[in-house]
Amino acid sequence: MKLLRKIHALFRKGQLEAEMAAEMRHHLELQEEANRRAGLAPAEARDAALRQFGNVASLQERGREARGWLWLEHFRQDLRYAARSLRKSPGFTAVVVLTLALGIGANAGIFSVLRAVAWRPLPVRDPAGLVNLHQGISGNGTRYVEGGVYRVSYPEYLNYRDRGAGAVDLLAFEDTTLTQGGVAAAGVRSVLATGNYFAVLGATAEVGRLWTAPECEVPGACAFVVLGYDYWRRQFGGDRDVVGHTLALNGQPFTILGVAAPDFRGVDLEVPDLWVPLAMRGQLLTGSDRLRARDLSWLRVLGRLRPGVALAQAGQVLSLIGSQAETDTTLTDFPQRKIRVDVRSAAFLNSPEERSRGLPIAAVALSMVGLVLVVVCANVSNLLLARAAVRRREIGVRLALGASRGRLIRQLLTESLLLAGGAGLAGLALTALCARLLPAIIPGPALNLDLTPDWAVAAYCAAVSVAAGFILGLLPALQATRVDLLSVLSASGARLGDRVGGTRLRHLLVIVQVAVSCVLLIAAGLLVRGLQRAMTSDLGFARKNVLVLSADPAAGGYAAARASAYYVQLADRLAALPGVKAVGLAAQVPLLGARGDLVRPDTDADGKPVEANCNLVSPGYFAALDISLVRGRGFVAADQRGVARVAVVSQTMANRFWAGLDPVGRRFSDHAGHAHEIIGVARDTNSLLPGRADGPFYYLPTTPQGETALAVVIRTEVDWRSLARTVGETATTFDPRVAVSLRPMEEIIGQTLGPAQLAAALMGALGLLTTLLVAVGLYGVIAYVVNQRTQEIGVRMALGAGPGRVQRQIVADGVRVVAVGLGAGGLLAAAGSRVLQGAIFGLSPLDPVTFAGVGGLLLAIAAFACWLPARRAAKVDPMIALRAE
Amino acid sequence: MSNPQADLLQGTLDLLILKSLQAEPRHGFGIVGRIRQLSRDMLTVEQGSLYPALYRLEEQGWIKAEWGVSENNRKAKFYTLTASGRKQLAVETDSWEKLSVAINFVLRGA
Repeated sequence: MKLLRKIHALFRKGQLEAEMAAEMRHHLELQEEANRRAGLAPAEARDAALRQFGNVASLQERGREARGWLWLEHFRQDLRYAARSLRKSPGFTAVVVLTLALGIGANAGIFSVLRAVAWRPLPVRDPAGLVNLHQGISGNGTRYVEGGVYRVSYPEYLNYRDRGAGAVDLLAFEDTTLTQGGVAAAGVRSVLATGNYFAVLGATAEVGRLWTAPECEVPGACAFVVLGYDYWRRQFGGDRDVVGHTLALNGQPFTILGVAAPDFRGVDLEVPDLWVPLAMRGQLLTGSDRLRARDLSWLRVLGRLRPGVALAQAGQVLSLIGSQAETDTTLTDFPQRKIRVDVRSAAFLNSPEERSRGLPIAAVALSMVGLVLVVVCANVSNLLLARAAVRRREIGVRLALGASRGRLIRQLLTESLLLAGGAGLAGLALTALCARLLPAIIPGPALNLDLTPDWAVAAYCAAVSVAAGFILGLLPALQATRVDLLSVLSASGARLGDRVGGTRLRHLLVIVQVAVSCVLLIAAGLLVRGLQRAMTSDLGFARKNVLVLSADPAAGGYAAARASAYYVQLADRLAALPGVKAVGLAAQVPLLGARGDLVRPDTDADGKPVEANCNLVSPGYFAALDISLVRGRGFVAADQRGVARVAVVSQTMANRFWAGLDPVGRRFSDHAGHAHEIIGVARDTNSLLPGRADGPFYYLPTTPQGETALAVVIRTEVDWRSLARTVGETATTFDPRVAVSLRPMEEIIGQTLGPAQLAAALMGALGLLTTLLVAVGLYGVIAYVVNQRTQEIGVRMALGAGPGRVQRQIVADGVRVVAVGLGAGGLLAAAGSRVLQGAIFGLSPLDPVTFAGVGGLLLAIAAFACWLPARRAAKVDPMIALRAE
Repeated sequence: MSNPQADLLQGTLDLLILKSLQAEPRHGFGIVGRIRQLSRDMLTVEQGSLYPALYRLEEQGWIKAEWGVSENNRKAKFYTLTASGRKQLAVETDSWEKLSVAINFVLRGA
């Protein structure tokens, strides 16, 4: 009832106002009559009545306040007033909305990325019923982990699947890289999945069909592959006849069963190129029989809840199965273990491990863009302060007419909220635009992310906008309404000797801005310098004029032994080309992968095995990549026959195991127990990450029967571009059946640096944006101060201060403020830059060049921003300035 | 704009207005006069407090406003006590009496 009346009152506003006025008029008349009767003269009687009645306007205001939703009505009024006043200064409004939109858009963008990565449902059909199963193991026992501690072994998966079948339909998969058509040519991102994978996820086929569970039951007997839509378009040009053909994966022939529909891009963050049944793992990847392996975490498990089963129910069922599996000796050798099963709604990254690792990254990213927004808000605050200074008279008049300070503050806040609201909408639009453009810009594999803003992003955007509106509006509103009425109404501006209102506040805002942009610029500077270091530093192998040729002779019909001969002969052909300096073969190309191993040196034969990486290389490899041998010799053709097991080790490995000894002639054993004799020591390389020397590393010779897939590394004497065509043609004419591909080493290095480049570019953009804002903000403050102090400056100049001196003083004032901000920002950056350690390729996080450079840059920009208004101050004509008084 | 009676408790003003309307409907000026009369010229309600209070009481549904013709033959808004207003008057009178008795005890004691 009351509610209805209030709403009604809101709409009948005009009528109610008229009634209220009429009622009060009537009261006045009666009072006047009464006064006359009491013996007052008519004019006096009226005056007395008015006096008795008090301020009619303020009374009416209080009358309104007692009735209806005053705040709502005020808000409506304020909104209208704010819109009108913003319309009157379109330039100001546009600048503010645009800068705010950038700040808010950056926040919404980062939020939408984080949400897509860790929170949004998976992009498959009906994702609401999908759950992730994470299995945490604790207690006594040994557990091998590959990929993540919350993964399960295959027997464990079967146990969950079969016994939990009533509650949830579970699938398991592993993401890995297989090679198709050679080593470096095409590492294809592959998913090895159980037979029910496509059915549970609700995938459909674009061409051909997808596999079904019964087909995939017998290990080794389901050599078929389903291609991803994008991969099919890229690699086969969208050829619909591809179904039924074979594809060589890791040298094994697989029949193409079909192509997944374009809307199914898997459940991994990176879009896989193809899917292969998990039952084929033994054929694809040699080593122990994974499907039987116990106490090994390697499979990810995903499931769909059965109809009518709630998430919590499924969690209970699977937890029970997990706790029963603790002591089940058919599943584990360590029955004292404890199992904790965690079932949660499916998202890309949501295992407890990923969450705890991702949280700091998310926090850093959000605080970086949050800082940018702080700078934007500080800047807009400064603009509003300047605007408020211009509106001092208006505000003074309104206060004098009886507006309460609270009401004025509310009104000014409404204005900043309106600005922030508009900016929020623009920011959201910006985010939507970026979501469409970004995937095309980001280098590296396609990501399976849906970045289009949804309700959560919109809500976040709204929350950020409202917060920004309050933050940027509150200080100026408080400042603007703290007005000395007399001085405002009597004179047109600050007079000589007046304290310039709010200057300290404005300085504080500038200090905050400088400090924040200093932090961002230093972060960007460190990333860029780190990249530079990675691009130019010595990697331990040749980076210029090196070509990597990949070929897959197995796919061209070669058997293993003849495939090896293919490589050797091709290498000989290429070496004979004019302009080619050296040619070598290798199982692994630096920066494209490494083979991990566990070794024991002869000095500690019974000790704990140590991790080492290894590569299989031909005699020409060291020359082809210009890896110099510091002791002993490299491989010769005789070593390849495998009669004596010989190895070349890296300096790090030699120093680690045989410090002070001559490593040549010593032995070490690999994980399989084979002993290798060291014949030479090679320089350390950065084969895993540019800027970071490898740990222990050893090389073994390629053997005639050994590897089926090798890369050919070619170093040219001339620019590689002039030889690339000849090299490619030579390989193709050598055997037209074998597909080859060619990549320069520089490109491979560049690709490795892709993520770091992206980070540096993003950080740089944020840093430059804030620096621009700082310059504008500083200019605004100094210009304002100069404007307010025109008369003071006039007096100084009349008393003999030269223009140069005035100018210098003003610039010095500004630079002093900036220096405080720089100091604060530098300290903050020094305290926090260690976070970047992993991304700057061995650069010191306290790199003096970056710190000094950023400081210098910001000081120069600040000096320039101060100099512009200072120049105007110096042009003040003392006569004109003083006459204005 | 100091108001000597602004510190008249809000509830008290409401009580006085309700009481002044007990016998018959009145307009705003009439309410002021009635209160002055009942208080033997000791209480004068300021217009500044009267109208907001009237609107508030109307909001509560304790009084009801109707346009009528005043004694000087002009259109005026007359306020009438509603049924719930009568109940409220009883409640407030009761609690006021209790309060004043209590305060009197306190003042006479010590």
